[in-house]
Amino acid sequence: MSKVKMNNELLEQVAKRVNELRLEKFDSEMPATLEDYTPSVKYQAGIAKIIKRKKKHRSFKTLKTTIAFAALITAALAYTLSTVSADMKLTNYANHFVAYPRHTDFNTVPKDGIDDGTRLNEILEYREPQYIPDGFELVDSFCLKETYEYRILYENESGEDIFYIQSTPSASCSEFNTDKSIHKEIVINGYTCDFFTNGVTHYIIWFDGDYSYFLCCKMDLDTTLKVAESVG
Amino acid sequence: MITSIIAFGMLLIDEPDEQEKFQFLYENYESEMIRTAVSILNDYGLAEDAVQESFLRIASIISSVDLSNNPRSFALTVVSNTARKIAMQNNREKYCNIDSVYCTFSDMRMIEKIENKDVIESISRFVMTLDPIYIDIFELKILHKFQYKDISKALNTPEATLRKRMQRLKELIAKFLDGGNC
Repeated sequence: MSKVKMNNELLEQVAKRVNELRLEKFDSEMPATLEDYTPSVKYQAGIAKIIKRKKKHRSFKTLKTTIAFAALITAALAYTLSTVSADMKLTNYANHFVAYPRHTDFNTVPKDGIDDGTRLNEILEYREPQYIPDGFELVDSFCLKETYEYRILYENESGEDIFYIQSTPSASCSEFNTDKSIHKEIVINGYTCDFFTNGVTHYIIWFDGDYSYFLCCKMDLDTTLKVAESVG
Repeated sequence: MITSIIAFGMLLIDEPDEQEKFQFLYENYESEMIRTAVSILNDYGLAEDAVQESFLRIASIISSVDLSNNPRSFALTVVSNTARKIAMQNNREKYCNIDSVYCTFSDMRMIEKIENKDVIESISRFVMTLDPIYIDIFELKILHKFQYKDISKALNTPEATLRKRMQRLKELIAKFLDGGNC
């Protein structure tokens, strides 16, 4: 008995057998005959109550739709206003960004726009995260020759993902939405990084002198930082 | 009268295929549900209440009911659960506390010795010795593949309680497989 391990298959087999035993028990215990069944007044009243509740729910649904619509319009207005101010902030504090209205475009060209000719225009050494949490699988990995970007995507079964880009300073890279995000400057492996998070998705961008790195993770913060630290 | 009860049930259900499901369950199992409730409650009026309450619960999750997967077992599980709750409310039967199920390990060891030859049969008979509240969740979750939110509606029990019961049941089965040491 001790050698048997409990798993879903075993539980299903047991459930089938338990069901058979239980139906046998029901059959043996239930009376063979019964008088004609007549719905009671209580039952009908109970049903009537639920019908009323259902109707109420329907009117609530209409109300909900109206509220949702109003909220959507308000949110759209707020969004427009907030992105304008957020973009203004971004241009002030981001290390490697050029900001555009509504979105933040991650662009590895230095803010001053000066290329002194010493910067790399192709990837000579590919670097990628050495630490990937358990459960994540490589979905795609490719290098865009035109823009000199090395992109890697990992995903797990619960829909969390890790998106990583290594690119040359001359490459134009992804844009991402910083709406409702907070920004912080953090230090990872000695490099000052721009860190954005909206609570669900975390973005970390840094420049090591040769390449720019962009990490976008939909998972917990600690693991995100661990992945960023492992790039090398 | 049967037509009227179906008609009332129908008003709860919007989709035509769901109406068909409800009608199927009512027409095929209402009589057995009443008899099962009578066997638990020993009172025809209370049994009626149990069946009515059960149909209300079934109507609330009718979209998740799979008629190809033991509908009779589903209907009887729901009505027996409802009937037991009514019985407890009316103090007609004394049920052991939920946690007292852990005291059945002495029985488990006896069962193990007797029926060690067939593990599935042995575990099944052990499960049958437990409080029916565990068997209800076990059947609805594992056999009928309902989600906890639907089982919660069907058994009128909070989801957290159901999850805890399922966890306890798995622990009990695991201990049973390990030899029933407690």
